[in-house]
Amino acid sequence: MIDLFKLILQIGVILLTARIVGMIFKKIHQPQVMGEMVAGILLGPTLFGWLAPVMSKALFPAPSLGYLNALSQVGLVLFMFLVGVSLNPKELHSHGHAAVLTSHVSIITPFCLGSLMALFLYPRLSDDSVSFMGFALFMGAAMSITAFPVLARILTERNLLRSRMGTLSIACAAVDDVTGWCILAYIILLIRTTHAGRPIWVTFGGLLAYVFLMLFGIKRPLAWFEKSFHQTGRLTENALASMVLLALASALVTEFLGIHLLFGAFLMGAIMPKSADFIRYVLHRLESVTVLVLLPLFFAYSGLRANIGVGHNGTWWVFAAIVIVVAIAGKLGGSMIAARFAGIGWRDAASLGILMNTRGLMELVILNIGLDIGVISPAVFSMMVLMALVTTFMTTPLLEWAYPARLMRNEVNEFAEVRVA
Amino acid sequence: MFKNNLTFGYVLFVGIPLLILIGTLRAGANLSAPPAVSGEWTIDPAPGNCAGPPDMSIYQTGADVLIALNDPQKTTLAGKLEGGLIAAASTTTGCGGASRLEAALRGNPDTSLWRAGSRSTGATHAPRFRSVQ
Repeated sequence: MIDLFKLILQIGVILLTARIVGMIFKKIHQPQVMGEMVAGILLGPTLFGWLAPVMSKALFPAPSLGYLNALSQVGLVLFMFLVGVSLNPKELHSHGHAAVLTSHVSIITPFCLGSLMALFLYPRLSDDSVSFMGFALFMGAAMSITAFPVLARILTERNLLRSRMGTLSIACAAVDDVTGWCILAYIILLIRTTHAGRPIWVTFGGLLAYVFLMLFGIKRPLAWFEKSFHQTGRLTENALASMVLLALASALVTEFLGIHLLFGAFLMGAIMPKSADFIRYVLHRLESVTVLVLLPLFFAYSGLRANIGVGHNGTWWVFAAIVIVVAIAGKLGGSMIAARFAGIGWRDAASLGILMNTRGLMELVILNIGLDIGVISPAVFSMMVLMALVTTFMTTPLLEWAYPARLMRNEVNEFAEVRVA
Repeated sequence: MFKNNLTFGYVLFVGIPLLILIGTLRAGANLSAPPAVSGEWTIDPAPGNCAGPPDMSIYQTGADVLIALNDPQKTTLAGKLEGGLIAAASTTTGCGGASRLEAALRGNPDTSLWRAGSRSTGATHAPRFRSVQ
């Protein structure tokens, strides 16, 4: 029987903590979402559970976490739908082959390093319920993700969205996310099919058929939403509700197929119309509740599963340091070197690498999936969460160092003039 | 010329890492990890003097295990899993005076049966119990 009083109290505490910590992080020029992520971690065994274990257990007893998880998953479904809506990989074409090379390298390099690192971590941190291939592929995929939404937020807050480097970063991150999620879908398919005893070709065939149906059957009628928007300048509540229903339906299908419900939501968003004003309107209408209320619940639920406290022994911290170094080397280093090779200047290449190294919220989503399907243990989950926090936190100060704001402003003005001309 | 550079770039920065990835997956195919023991276990029969439903939860990271007994004292034991044997110890005296737990893992992964003995510090009495997942 659900304890409504406790659930509402939990939501209240989570939202309050998220807003307070988010405001603190904004004061130190970090994205608000970074503060909300940290707030979730602090509410778990890392701080609250360590300082006041009795109060922590009273506020977040184990039986109540299922309801919190359910609410957070609904928020994630909507969020992934919105991520899909805002993605426009076609933008990459306008940046030419250099951008394509950079985005591909920014995926394969951290993926390769993550899998290499798995050779070291697997016998020490995993168990025989997970195959090495599943573990290595998951670690690779987790390393290769870029937090497209957080990246967009950082660029917006620094007025860099219209800069050359900003548009290139967004385009590369978009390709990164689409590719990364496709790889993750395959990994989940591999692991879940092995455990379910279902032949992999059945699930894979079902997934392919569904993707085909979405791209060539469902996508065309969705243009009606854009047409309706352009005719009246808005979407009715029924239209918006229909979009949400479509996202939920697609999520159910991929969950039924054995992948994960987030893929269905992401895919539905990805095939939505892509005109800029339409995307802006949909995000404006649907983002508020998702970002303000539901996402902090997800951060808190992740935080309750992570323990990045002082209780760990030295070995844990050594492993965590290895994970962080490999993550930075793969993503930041790989992206920077590829961009430089493609003819982009050192300052822009370094800035691109720094931005692509932002993992944030998308990393948390993937890690929770990994923990849920059992491919990573709680200890590895905590290490990777720490890696996500570190790589996201370092973005803003490193970016300021590599490309100071005053230089950015000049470049944005020049780039804007060139585009207008 | 740029097209040649681009091709070279793909070979260098995408092709070679892909080959390394394939090699890594092949090299790791023979790696082994400790047996999976994490989850909820039922203790059958319950050790003497223990109240409440007999069970324990095991949290595992590689060879490191944390065993939480569902006894009134909420005894937790930390230990290692090596060669199919678990040795765990607690700093406090727990259920039935248990402060150490030694177990041998037997059976296939689907019906994992344990035979474990717990010893109180300094005492010779060692109640044996079986755990089933």
